[in-house]
Amino acid sequence: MVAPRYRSRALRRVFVKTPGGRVNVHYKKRKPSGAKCRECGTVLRGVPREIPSKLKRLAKSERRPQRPYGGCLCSRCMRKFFVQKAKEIVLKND
Amino acid sequence: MTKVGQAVMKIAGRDAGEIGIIIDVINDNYVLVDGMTRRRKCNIKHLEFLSAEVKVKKNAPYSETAKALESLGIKVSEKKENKKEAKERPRKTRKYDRKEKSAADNKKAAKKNRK
Repeated sequence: MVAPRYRSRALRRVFVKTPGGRVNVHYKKRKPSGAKCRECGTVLRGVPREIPSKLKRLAKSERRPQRPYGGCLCSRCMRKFFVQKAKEIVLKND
Repeated sequence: MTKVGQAVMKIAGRDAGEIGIIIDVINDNYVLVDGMTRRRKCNIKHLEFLSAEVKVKKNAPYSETAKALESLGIKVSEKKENKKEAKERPRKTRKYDRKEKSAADNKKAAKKNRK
């Protein structure tokens, strides 16, 4: 029987194949849910789903897309936002 | 709408939200844009056309487009030049450079001769 603390489902189970061919169970912390768009709520692409300590190990450019509102808005919502902004802009026309 | 001198805002990618001016029309779908954006070819679908138009020559340098943007009341920051000066890097020192190696060989030979 496994240790009592491993009987709950608080930790996720990762099956690891050892070099000898056996399958071992590793107990690991659960990952948080994926990042979502602030506007429409779809899961953001280009944002890795990892625990913060592992995210910190990544380069900044690997953590979110390299564009304004990258990691906050999905690309569609960002475009809508800037289209709206472009309409509001007032330029001196000479 | 695609005309040299048309003011546009990029709505996609890294330069999204930046204002630029069309400098060249490449074909039905692509134009060359410069200004607050990086100077680059853009798909028309990735641009939002603004109401203003400016007089700019085809393929104008950045200095001219910057002035044109300023006339529209847009604050323009100076562009950093991409060209980096080639720094002098310390060369990798090899254990046995040719001269050193020959010198070391000579020493060995001298030792042998002594024996």
